[in-house]
Amino acid sequence: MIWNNFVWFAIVALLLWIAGAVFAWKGRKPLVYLFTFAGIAVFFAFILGAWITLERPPLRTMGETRLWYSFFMPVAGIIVYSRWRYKWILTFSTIMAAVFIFVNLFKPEIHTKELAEALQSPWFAPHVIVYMFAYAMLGASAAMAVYLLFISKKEPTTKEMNITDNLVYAGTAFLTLGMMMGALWARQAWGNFWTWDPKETWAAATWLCYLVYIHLRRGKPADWQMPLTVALIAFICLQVCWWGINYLPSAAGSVHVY
Amino acid sequence: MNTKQWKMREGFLLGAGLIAVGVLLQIVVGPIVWSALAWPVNIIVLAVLLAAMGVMFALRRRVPFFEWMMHNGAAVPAMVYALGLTIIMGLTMQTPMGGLPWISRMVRFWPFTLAWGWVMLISGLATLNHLLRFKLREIPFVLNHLGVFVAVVAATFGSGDGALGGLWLKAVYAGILMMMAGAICLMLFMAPKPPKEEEEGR
Repeated sequence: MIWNNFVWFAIVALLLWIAGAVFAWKGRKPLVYLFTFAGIAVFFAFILGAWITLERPPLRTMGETRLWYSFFMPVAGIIVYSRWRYKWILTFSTIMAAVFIFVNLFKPEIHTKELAEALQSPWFAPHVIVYMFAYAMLGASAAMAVYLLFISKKEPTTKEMNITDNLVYAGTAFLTLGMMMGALWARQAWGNFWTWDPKETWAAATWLCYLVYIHLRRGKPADWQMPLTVALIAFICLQVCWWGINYLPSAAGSVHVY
Repeated sequence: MNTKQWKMREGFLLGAGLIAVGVLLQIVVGPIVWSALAWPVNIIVLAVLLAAMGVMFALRRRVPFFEWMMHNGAAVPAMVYALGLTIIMGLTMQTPMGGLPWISRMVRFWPFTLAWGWVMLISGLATLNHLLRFKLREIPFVLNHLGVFVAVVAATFGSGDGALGGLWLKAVYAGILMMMAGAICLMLFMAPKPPKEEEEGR
């Protein structure tokens, strides 16, 4: 039911975000904030509507998680923009949000089944939202890595490396928080903090890979090629962890696959 | 051997040696039987481990290898090996019976445990190194490294008894809380400062 209305909210939000991104290129700060926040508000109104209609947080299906990803991309984008004024970041976040909006529009994975009992927990929303935020920040860091390694091709400035470091630090922090919340939740629901479920295994791999980046950067701040390559490998692990495991035969029995 | 000059390359070589030892153990001893870590074996092994760490820390000025273990040159290769084995684990169906030899039961595979154990040992030693400086700005470092050390070590040694309980459980909770606090510190205090000048980016 609720998904029938999605297209209207999505189009309006997307147009507002595009306007925000355009004004970012033009350096019109107040309009950037106005349009981006308006888009965020419109999109959140849909999420809220879905939440109320479904009588549960819309966090259960891939489609619903993509909803949050579309929502948090511009949120992360505007935070990064407000702090570092990168003109391109809102274009990036808008494109990423659009990708997930279109995936939802053209391939709606609408599940009507009730939440599993283990998922009916106060940990549910914070666990997933924190992860979504991590994904968004780390997605932006991967974009920086691609830009610095393959597009700009010259030695990055301190400022460029600082922003990449910042994104990885913030993303890894959110990743850690999400993982720990997951452990606390798992203890409550299943009696174990950690069971090496495939999702957990990939979460550990992703986390470790970002820690390698952080340690490389702190060890030798002058090095940039190897850490940026590690950041890209970490981002691949992140994709496997997030949606790739749905296609991995080794993860068929995971409690996280749905 | 002069370990004063040790850097990351030596860390990778040492890690390869550790994996080889693990494989050898797997062949000779067989897969790890975690229930062997039941009380009181777990507390004895842990006490020996902590005492060994204390000795390593105390001798760090005299034995350069121990000093090296507390730094990035040791930490990065250790994490890379643990990461590699964890990725293999993620790509392999984990099953109590059947599947591939060794890697289908990764938690019972010696190299996997040794690689993660090596990471934890380094993390624990690095904690000691920073903890005893008693400086305010060391708090984020200590929270991150001590947190992961306490959580993983307590969960591993405590689960030898079957259900995690008592002090083990409290220690795991403490470790998790430290890691969460450490994560917030990572974001707020350890990340490089953004440029002060509000100049337009590219």
